[in-house]
Amino acid sequence: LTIAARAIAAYGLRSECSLPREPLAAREFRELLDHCEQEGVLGLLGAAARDGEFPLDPAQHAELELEYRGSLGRALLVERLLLDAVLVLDRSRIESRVLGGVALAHTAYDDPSQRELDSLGLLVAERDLAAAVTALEDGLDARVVQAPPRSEHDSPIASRAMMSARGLELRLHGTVVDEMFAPPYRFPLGVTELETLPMPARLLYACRRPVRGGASLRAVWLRDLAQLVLRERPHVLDVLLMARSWDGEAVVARAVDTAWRELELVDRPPLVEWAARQDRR
Amino acid sequence: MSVPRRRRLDVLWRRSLDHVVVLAPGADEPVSVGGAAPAVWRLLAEARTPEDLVVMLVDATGADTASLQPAVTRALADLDRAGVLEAPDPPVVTA
Repeated sequence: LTIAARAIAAYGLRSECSLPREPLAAREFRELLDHCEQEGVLGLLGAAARDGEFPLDPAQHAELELEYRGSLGRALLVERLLLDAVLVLDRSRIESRVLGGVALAHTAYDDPSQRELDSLGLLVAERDLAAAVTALEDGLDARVVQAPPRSEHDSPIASRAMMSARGLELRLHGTVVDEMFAPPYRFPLGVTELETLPMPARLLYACRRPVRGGASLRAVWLRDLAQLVLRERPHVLDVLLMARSWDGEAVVARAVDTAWRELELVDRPPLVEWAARQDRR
Repeated sequence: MSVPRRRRLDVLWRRSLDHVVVLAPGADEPVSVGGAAPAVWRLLAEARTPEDLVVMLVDATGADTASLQPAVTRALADLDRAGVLEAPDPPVVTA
């Protein structure tokens, strides 16, 4: 991550990264905007600017406003698609859980405008995956863009279908782990109450992307982890017990340690200390 | 006295630097509304008349009524056009 992108990704958290004190030069600002979009942290740049913590000249303000509005509009379309997809699955009597960005934006962040959304993820039981694909094809005119399902031995996701609807990506994941359907964490979206994973399953799921992302590691995934750990303060033992049952301790340690190192975060709950020790072994 | 209005609860929305971005149920695309709309939208979490809104914004900003009135009127018209406002249910009268 670039230094500026790190500082933006850490905005609002106690971090060694610092934001500029004067408006950047025009070219530098354009590069920062591009980085923020690539890294999925444009919403955090917007929050910093709105709070008066990121200095902008009038031209930069106008440029950011335009990009930010586009990004927020996409987020709303993602949320609309999610509401429609959940309704379709409910009508087909298929239980689902909201995964990823939308769930995190509304449960882990103070303001969902801080979390960019460009796709949505839903979890269903693996035995329901084929029926869910059919229901979404029929109900939303969605189409499968990537098949067949592939197995992931070190996660609770047994199979997946990548779909496309209304020009947006819809990831449908199938699980064989009953624990994923433990009593859910509920959050409101519009007038609907949606269900996502409870803790610590939500954290463990969020740990997969920074580790699997490899060269395409995005700052937003690291910020998601920081939000979950700092806001929910999960107990180390709870996390370890569940991670162990998924054979995912190393994934959790790597993801959490990477987030803290890259974002240079100051507050270090016990889980972070554990992750640092494990990851350096 | 004008009719009070409030946000529709089923509207999806976000706040940018200067605008409120709204997606009404049934709308194909989000709509961005600027000017006084972000402040008006925040206040419309509860039902309020245009007069209420002007008074509250005058109190909050120190601006004069004459300049705020047209801005509030325009914001309400823009939000209404976007389909994101509703009149509250009338109070239930019991005998």
